[in-house]
Amino acid sequence: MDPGGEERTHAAAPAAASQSAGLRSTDVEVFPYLVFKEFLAALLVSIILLVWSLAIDAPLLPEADPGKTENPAKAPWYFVGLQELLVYFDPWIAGVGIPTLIIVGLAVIPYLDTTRSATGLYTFQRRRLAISQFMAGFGLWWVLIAVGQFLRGPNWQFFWPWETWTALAPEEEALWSFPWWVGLPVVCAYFGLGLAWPRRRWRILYERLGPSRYYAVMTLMLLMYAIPIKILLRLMFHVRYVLMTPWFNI
Amino acid sequence: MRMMRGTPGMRWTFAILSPLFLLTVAYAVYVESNRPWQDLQEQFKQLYIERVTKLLQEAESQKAATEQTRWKRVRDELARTQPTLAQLYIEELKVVDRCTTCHQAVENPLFEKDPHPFRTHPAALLKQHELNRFGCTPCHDGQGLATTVEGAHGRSANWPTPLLPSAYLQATCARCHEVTQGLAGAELVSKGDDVFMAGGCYGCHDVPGVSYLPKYSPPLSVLKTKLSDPASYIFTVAKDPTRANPDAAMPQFSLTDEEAGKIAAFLMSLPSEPATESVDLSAVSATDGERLYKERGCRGCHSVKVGEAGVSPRVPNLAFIGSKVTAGWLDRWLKDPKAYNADTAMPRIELTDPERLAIVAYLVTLKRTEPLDKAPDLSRFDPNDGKTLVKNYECFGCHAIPGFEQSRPAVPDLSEFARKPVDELDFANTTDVPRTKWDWLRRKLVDPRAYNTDRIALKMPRSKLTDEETQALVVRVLGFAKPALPARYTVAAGTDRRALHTMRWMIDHLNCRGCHKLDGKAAHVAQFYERKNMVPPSLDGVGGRLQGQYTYNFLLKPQQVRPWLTMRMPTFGFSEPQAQTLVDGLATAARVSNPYTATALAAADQPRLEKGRRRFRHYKCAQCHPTKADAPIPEGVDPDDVSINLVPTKTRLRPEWIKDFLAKPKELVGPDTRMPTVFYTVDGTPKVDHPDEDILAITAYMMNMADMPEPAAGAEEAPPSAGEKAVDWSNMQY
Repeated sequence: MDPGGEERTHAAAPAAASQSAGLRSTDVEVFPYLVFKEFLAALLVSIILLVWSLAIDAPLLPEADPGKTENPAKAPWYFVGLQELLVYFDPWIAGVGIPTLIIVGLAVIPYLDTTRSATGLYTFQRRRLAISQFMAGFGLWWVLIAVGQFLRGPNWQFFWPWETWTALAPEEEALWSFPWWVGLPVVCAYFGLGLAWPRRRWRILYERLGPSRYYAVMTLMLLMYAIPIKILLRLMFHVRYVLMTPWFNI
Repeated sequence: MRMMRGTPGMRWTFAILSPLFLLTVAYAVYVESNRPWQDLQEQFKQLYIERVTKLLQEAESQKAATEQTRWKRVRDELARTQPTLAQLYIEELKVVDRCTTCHQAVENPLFEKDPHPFRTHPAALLKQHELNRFGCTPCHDGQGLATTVEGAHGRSANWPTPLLPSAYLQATCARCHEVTQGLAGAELVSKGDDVFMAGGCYGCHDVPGVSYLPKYSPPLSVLKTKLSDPASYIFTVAKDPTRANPDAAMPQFSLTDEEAGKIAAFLMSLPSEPATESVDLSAVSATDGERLYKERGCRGCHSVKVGEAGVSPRVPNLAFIGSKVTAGWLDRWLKDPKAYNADTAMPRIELTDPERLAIVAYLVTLKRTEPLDKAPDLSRFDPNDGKTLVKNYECFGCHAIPGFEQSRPAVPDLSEFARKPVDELDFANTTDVPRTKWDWLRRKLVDPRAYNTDRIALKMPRSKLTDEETQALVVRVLGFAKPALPARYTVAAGTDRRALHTMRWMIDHLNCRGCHKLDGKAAHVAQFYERKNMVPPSLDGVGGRLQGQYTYNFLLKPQQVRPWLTMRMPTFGFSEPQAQTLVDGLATAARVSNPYTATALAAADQPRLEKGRRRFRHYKCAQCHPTKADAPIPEGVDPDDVSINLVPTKTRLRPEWIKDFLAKPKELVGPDTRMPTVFYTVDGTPKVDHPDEDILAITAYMMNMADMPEPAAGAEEAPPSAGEKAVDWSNMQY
């Protein structure tokens, strides 16, 4: 029995159900093809978790003592990404501003992505932009968590896993900030170009979304990408703030 | 059903993942149900059966029926046992210890020589600290609940009390025993306590029970008239104490020239005391002085040779004393050391004026050959900078310094070190020190500045310590804590133990070991004498030998007991409470009580006293022991045979000691005694007919004797038993 042939048969079957879902010749059914894959993924993750739990014991942290702050003090793993952001942003931005933006951004997705053409189809081709941008943000989040959880030692210093933690006071990094007359144009240019250029480059995008959705989507994306850009500026060029104003610094 | 199949890739992946998942689950179940301790228990069971079988065979070959039944029963019981988790639960201590799950032989005497974990616990300790009452972790630390090797030994990260290595285990004795001196099995922690006190650690580190101690070192208020070249001397010593005196007890502060100069400038700026008068040494000779120096026992404590140790590093080496101090000061010092420094350990030696001057004349000839470091011009330093440094390095911890009378060193409090978690210790930049408290301490003692960083400059100086002293100190400091266990477990020190503790400190402080044998270690001065009776008596067991009241009186006002000695007990100027502490301490060390002496032994009826008198004469005790008050040293007697006057016995010796001593002299005071064994041979066979009766009679007689028993006129008394010859000790072979 030829499995490939089976698939073809399957996909080409002139069944009423298939036709009503608008299947094309290369499409396959959710069941069993997607469900099977999901089941396999669940199996794999179960194995990984089992091996992990066998190999590594739950860590024993120091005895709780109200008179003593642990060092490093780490948030629960799912918040460590936020904690990691504190290195690069002022507390209210890292702790309040960015999480709010994330929640708002996630909450407005149904209102921004109103395409019906891909409903019920689980494929990358129809949603290249949506899926890739979501995965970029999601990946960034996991990278931040991994760095915070595994690579930060006492005083939130960076250590590779093979380095031993020493409780040295961190060396004061010499940081500098853009003066406002540089920072303001840079920020304006980033948002201005970021909004205008894709509109010219991918006209279809603008046409499909319409002006209000286009600007909302692009603003959220630009804000999201501003985070890794700021991190790289800090890591590579020791920039503390890009824009300093009397009210906030970013 | 066909539609369930998916693609071949999916099915292949499923074919791999599915059994893998099953295997992983099975492995997890296996791992969780087969704990490492079960294997160990099985190993132990085999070992135990093997051993019992061997014992059974031995019993069979010897036809010992009871033994056979016994071992057979043990073996049968063993064969039936299944691996089970063993656990000690001590509610009072909140202790749950599963150590005996693996350490199965703890209470089993058959495994004394086996390697861990199947070794018998030292039985004597366990007898006093029953498992069911104490558990394991209260002494050993570790994680009692854990059942893996790493976990149970507390080596997992963040477990606050990892298992103490046996080298440091004695630290835990001090958790319950307030005073460890004299406890069998706590020798190391006791030694650590002695080192802590004798080394002057208490100068800076406040621990319970040291607040009454005087300053460890001489006052710095009166240096200018004491030293012949004060500026250079202070400068040199501050920089490196061993430059001025290679055996200096002062630890190394590693100061720079600049700092040493500032400190010298400060000390030189202190108000001057009245100058000491210069003395005229023209009438005396240094040779006489040297003879007196030796005769009067100065060398019991001091040394006049570079590199030759005195009794303790704290006693100044006098090799360069002539360059260090002025003759006038030496004279004043010898006249009455306490007048100069009330806290000094130096006693007053009874000397006539010419004798004293002769010794001064001798000492001033002891000059250094190479000059001291020249002090820089002190006028360029601000004395206030020096004062800041003195404050920073806390010199006032050990020295009395004007302006710092009320200062207490701000140093880490060690009194709760036992409870300090290891993550509160600063390992700084070190990478080679294992992250344990004991390794931290050891390095700290060996190299006190090892944990220096750019921001934290440590100031603890480096002391000269042997490896053993370092280890003992580590053990002692690891054990510093107020008792945390319930009161029922702690052994608070009573007056007697406290007295013992203080006495041990006083003995080190006052350098009693210079002239007296102690802890089985010969007196320092003994090395200079071939004749053993020229060395003052041993302090080992002295509390059991002398009556408390006698010792007390003697300490307050020493009297001559051994007229043949050239050395005299000097005047230490004990206060009455101090004398009492010493007497009580000596009694505790000898396990006797004060002030009671066994008067029953002394009470005797006339016939027994008479018998004692006759035996006393018969055994010719007086041949070596003077028995008249103020009797001169007998002439024509081998000087080695001269022994102590027995007239003061009834107020001096404890009768129970006399009794024991007469029976077994060598066992009681060591093989060096020249006291013959009269009544028993070394292996305990009686040498005379009724040894115990004779001993009791002589003891009773001595406790009542007033003076030499006059020989009955002309008549030689009948020997105590027929055929016994009269004894003559003058030809005795030793």
